[in-house]
Amino acid sequence: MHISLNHHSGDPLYRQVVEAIRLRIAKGEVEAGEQLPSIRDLAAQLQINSRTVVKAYEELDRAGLVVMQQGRGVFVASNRAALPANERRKRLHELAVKLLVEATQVGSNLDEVIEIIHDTANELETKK
Amino acid sequence: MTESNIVMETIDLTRDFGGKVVLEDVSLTVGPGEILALLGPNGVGKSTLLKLISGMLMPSRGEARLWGESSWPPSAEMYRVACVLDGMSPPYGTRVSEIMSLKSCVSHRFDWKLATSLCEQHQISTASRWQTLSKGQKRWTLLVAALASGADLLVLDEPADGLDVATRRELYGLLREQSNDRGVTSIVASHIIADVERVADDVVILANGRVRLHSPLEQLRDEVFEVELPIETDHSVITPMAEVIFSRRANDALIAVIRFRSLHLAEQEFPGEISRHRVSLEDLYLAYRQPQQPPAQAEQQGLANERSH
Repeated sequence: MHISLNHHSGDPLYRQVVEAIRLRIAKGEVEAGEQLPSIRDLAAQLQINSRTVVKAYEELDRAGLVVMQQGRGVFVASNRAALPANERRKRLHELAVKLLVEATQVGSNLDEVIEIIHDTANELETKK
Repeated sequence: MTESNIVMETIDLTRDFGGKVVLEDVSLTVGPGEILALLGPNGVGKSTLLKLISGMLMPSRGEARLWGESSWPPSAEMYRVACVLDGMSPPYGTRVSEIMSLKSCVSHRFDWKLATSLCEQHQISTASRWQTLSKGQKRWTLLVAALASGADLLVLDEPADGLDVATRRELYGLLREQSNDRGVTSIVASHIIADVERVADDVVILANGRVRLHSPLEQLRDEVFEVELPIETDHSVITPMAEVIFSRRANDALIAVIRFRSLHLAEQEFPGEISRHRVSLEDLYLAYRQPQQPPAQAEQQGLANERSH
């Protein structure tokens, strides 16, 4: 599993690992039930502290995206536990604010943003 | 950290040279497998600290301990430590193989295979004599001797000096590997912050011989931000939630590098917050090196800025 880390962005490394794996799961590049690299292997490959990998996997486990099985490994969760509606809306709302602020700053508008969301959704769909 | 979980510990470690205090009341702990980076400008006491840790210098006060045993006088635990310190140089005519042999005499865990392959990869023949090596090759040879020694603790002073980028990455990759695979602890003084950011678990910033900051790097990444707040914002609004590391008033805003007191608090917003973003270790380091503005003076400067509008 190839993950590019940016050591100088100030973003915590475990978050970068979490985001990279979340994206892969969202794109369907790794499937439900598929085994993810072991903590040791991923740490060696990314040249980061194995505790950082543990932290990332634990966070994904808490979010219900992966299942950590003692002694067996880490697997992509089969049915992702959906967030309660208010939590879900809150999280998406935050992301929407960020997206719209960015769009205004680069001189874009709502129509273009919606168009891009559609296109991106199609892209992700075809990769599945 | 429990007693057995501490590899290196300093307690009120102080050292002066002829009345000039170089290091004062330094208290640090380092656990197994950690890579600790010491940052600070030249002359701040980094090298002195490393020498005190590795038993090459006597403390004026306080002590350094390795695995619970005082470093001065050096204890029997010293064979578990490998150092590459400033100004180390084998006698004229010494061969690379002899440097390695010397290490293998001290440590029965010396890994000849690793030593030979790391030398060969860098076009260093073990038959070469010390004075024929380039600056970078000399540095690499000493590092290889330390890395292959099987030591449980590596103490390295500016190890990347004279190494090119690729070799520096290789070195830090090897430190990480030894940490993950064998739980090897490293204490590294460096002024190349980009390298430190790549490898360190914990960061210590020294200023005027004292510890200004000691924190896990991932925690800093979680908790440190540069925030932009309305110009009239007083520090007292920030301080219950975060430590102000550095602040300045620019045009119509207060710009502050702050560290939230917990990850949980970092989710909250300040009144009228304009923006926030994460900062690199380099920016954080510079923020720590800025003299703190006394609030009154900051106020005045803010007013002066307002008037100029």
